[in-house]
Amino acid sequence: MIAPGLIWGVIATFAALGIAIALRAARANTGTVGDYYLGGRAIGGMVAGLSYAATTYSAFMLVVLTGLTYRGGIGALGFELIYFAGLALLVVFAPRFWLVARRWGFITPTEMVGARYGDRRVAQVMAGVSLVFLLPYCTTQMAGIGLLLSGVTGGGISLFQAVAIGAALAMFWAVVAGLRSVAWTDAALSVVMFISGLLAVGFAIHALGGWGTFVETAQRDHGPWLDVPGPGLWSLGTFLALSFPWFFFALSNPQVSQRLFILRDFAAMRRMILWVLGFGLIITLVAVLWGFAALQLTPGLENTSMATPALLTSGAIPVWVALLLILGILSAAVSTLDSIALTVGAMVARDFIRRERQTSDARQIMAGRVVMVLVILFASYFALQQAQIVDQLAALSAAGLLVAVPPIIGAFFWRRGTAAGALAGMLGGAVLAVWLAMIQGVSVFDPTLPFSVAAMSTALFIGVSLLTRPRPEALDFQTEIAEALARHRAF
Amino acid sequence: MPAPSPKPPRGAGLWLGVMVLLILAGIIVPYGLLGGSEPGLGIAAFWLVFGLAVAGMILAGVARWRDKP
Repeated sequence: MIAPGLIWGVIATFAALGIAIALRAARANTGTVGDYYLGGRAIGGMVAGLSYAATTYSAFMLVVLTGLTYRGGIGALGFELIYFAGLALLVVFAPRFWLVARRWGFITPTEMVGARYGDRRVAQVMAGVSLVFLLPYCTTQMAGIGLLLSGVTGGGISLFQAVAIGAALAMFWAVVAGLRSVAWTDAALSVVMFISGLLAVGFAIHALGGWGTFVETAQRDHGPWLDVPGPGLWSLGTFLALSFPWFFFALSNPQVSQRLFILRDFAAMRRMILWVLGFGLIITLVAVLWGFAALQLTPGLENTSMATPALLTSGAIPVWVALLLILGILSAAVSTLDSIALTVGAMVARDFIRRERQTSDARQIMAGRVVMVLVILFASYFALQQAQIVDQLAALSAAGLLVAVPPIIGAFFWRRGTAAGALAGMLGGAVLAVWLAMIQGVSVFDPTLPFSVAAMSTALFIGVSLLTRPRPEALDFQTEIAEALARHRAF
Repeated sequence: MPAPSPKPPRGAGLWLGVMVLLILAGIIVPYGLLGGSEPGLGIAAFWLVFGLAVAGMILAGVARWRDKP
């Protein structure tokens, strides 16, 4: 076990550094909505890339993916790399998101899609669906913090204390200065996560006798874990059920796609993608190697999500490295949480509260701040309650958010898509997702769930669009940005 | 009458086609060809190469962008 006092000391240092960054970011803010929610659309490639990476590669990596590797072996690597391949969507969609956001001043992806179809209800339904599936996901980040801190201290830090510290940090960083403080703290925290992950896996492999011995032992003692379907978890069906919805993460998750609005220019966009690629590939390998190391150093765990706490307290990892990795995982959870809170705040402020020429920037920022606090309090409360319905919705989030994908693709590639089609697709798909998972009891490991949701939302989007007419106020993104895309030589 | 869609830039179809094949290979090769054989590092090595190939394709996709048109 690690002494709680040591962990509190490290967290206090980390909090002080983050607070200093957030206050510095607050001084740079000018008070406009664009500045608060998008950092003035002037964020450079490195900060944007690290912020994107910290948001997308959450505590999931070194807690859940490690646990999936421990339980099922190498299939976890394939699953995460299919997700990684989803970054290819950025090659096609990042220039489009950026160009239309610049041209029409969009703050949120939902606002963008609503304007494209000429109907604010499209934005509101998309924001509502995101709320339903993202809030429980926030709860799991909170629960992850609790699991980790109480696990490595043998209960010395309680779930309440862990959740309270996570909530306080996420709230402060998001509320004080909006995107600028979130992006700057994300960038700093992602470096902590990256370096601590590399060091930890290096020490774990060293403790196992070096790379050669580590691989030999894996082949000799855990041969099935190097195969698919492996010891049982990674059947082809499970692999597809998890990989398919996660592949579309870059489009379906607004807290990630909104990052495409913050970039200064095309050069920053390219640099952002390169940073995410490098970070994503390496942290994926680290998480999977960490899972295999846990399998050798702490065999026989019944609860595989405890693999990371067990490995950290196994004695193989020096305490200072363990402390750094705990900080890295805490950082990843907080950065995901504050990014979601910020985006949800922006969606409520823009899609529900704003009225044309009537709602001041200050009021939209205040509304967003209130929503952010509520989101984080919601996540904290339900993490402490450990409510089953929240766990079910969180597991469902990737499949549920798939319903946003057809109208987003249609916004840029299908002029015939209509507001009615977009509404029908999202509502029909979301209802089906909830019905299948929560009433029929279809597991998130069953490919029936994501493929049915995707098929239903796509069919409704196309079918209802063909039966209805585009609204006169709908925007024609394809025509309006065609010339700019050609000038930038983007696909 | 909406304006006709401009033709996709040269290379777009090829890039998209290779990307689709690559992703399909990322599933079919481990599950269809390599899975179920003697325990070894074949699948891990394949997925490592797959990850690098995906990164290479994405790099190729963004390298052609012109920053200041």
